Amino acid sequence: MADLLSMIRVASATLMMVLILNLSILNFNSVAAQELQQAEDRGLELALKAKNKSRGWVDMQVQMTMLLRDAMGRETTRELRVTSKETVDDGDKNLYVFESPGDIRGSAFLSYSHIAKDDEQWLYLPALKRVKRIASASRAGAFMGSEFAYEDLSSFEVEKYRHRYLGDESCQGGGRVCHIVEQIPVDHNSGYARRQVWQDQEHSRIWKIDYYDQKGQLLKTLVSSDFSLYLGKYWRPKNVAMQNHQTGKSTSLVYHSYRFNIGIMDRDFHKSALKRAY
Amino acid sequence: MLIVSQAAIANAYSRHNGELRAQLHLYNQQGLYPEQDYTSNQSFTFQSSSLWQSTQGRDRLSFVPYLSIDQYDHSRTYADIRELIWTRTSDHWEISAGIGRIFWGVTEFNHLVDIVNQTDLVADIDGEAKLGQPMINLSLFRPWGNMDLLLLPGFRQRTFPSVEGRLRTPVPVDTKKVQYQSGQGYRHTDFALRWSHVLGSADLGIYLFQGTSRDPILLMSSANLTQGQNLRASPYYPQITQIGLDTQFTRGNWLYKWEARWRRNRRDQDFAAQLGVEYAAYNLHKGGDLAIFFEYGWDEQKEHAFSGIQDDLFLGARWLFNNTQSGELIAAINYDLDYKTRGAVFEFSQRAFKGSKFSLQARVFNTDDPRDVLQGLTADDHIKMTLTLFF
Repeated sequence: MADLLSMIRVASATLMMVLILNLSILNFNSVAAQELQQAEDRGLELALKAKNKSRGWVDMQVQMTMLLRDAMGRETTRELRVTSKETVDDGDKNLYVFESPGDIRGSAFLSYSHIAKDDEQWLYLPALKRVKRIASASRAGAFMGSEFAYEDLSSFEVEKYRHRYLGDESCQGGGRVCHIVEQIPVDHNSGYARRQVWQDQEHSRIWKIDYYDQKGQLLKTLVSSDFSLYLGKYWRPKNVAMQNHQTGKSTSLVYHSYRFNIGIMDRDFHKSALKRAY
Repeated sequence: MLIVSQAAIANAYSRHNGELRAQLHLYNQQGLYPEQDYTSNQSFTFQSSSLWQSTQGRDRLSFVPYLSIDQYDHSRTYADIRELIWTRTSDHWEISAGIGRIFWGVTEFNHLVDIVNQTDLVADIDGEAKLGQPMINLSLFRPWGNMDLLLLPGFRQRTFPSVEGRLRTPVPVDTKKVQYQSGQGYRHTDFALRWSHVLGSADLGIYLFQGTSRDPILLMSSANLTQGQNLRASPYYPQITQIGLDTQFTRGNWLYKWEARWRRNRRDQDFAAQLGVEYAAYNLHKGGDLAIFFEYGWDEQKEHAFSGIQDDLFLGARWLFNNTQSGELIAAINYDLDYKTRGAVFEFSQRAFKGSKFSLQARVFNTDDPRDVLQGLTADDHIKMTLTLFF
């Protein structure tokens, strides 16, 4: 009888322990799930903050100097004029016109960025005066041989990623605090498994992005610097550098002569306008 | 740093640049015809481009003169105005007047519907160089597409190599013996109306052309037949009505292209088409881009088709190195299913030094059937080296 009682006692104690353990695992899982949800919410919140802070500029034009450097240190410089127009509820329209070097001057590249579908892209070849629509699955492809992929240059759209807040870190010295957000592209054609964004607390400016390839290895790092404020509202960097850790190649972009709200029409972003873009 | 944006739109500006090209053709043997008794040929071309643009960019004036000098072929020593054209752009329309260049088409190996400008055949045998064309062009922009109305006052003859030139037809063409169906000759005013639109993944265009055909019919001049040695062909340009269509569907990495031409002259009518597929892959080995092209060309005219493309297959590939020297590699082969003519082209180009571009191109022609209009090229396999200086 005493054995039975002690057996029952041991069994119920074990059962209690198992129950408590299960409950705490469940609890732990739900806590983890909750934490994950919070991280995703916070990540989305930060992404929206960054997007909203950079919205409303209507149209923009800027001169860009693109310096390409290969692993051996050889360099080549390109000059472009970039014109952009905001689109409500969709990606922006971008027009890149090449001014130098001589063998590509007059070439133009037009891109309609879309959230839910493939981008639409056209290339203008000045020697033939030919406008050619090109394959839109080129998001992962290198823009004009640089370390910037087309998807790196197209406008940041919150819906293109799943977001997760990872924590804070001091960045760029000067006591600045950056939020680190992980972004996983929704599009399967993206060249990245994920990217990690350093966004400052004060103005939601993006100072650094780490890009991870489809194997999960660190592929490239983007660093922006020398921000200036335009129209009292928009922060834009003067320098953006992209370093490819796997190939040793890098590209730096230097922006100058930013102009906003200059009244560019939709028609100037049509393929028929490419022949007069340069 | 606070920067105030400028509310003003683009200021008036102008730009001037140009390119100087030195070319060397090296043939692997002397030509089929006695006057082609050389195996190397030097040539130079110069082209400048000047643009004046008004404030807000609404008015533009473009001037592009061209000059070519050839060592042996006097038909390749000439000057042309590629462009001298004023354009005014407004919200819903645009008008241009002057000498201009307009390209229509989507395929790579044959530009069937590119009718506006005459082909400058002596500049490049691939037929992609064009002469300037006088035009008045009104473009209308609507939600349902763009309409282009063209008035083309004045006609340009196709350029042909002279008797001592290489890469020519078996019977040299004498452009001084040109004949026109129209009594107005080269002063005839031609007309074109084109609708173009982008609908999702489709780029569409269709036009109606009425006027002087850009493709000549080469007639053996009866006056010369009695002279024997000085046999020459004279180009005859009929009046035609032509409908041209170009369509491209773009989906993912694939491009599907179609060009079709329905043409009618006083005597009869003919149909020709070019179908193409392109596959584009990006960021491959060492960041390079690859494009593969496959096309088929068909012409109802068969052996009378000027270009010799009547039942032909084309396969090509282009590799962009995406390196600091902007290296590019192109290889293409063509095969005539009727006459078994084969051809191949191979080209490599890159920047040589700052402000330049160097290219090396090799072309091989293989014609066995004398009915093929391209049989005059069979001994003209060559390597072409080009150095271009940009300033």
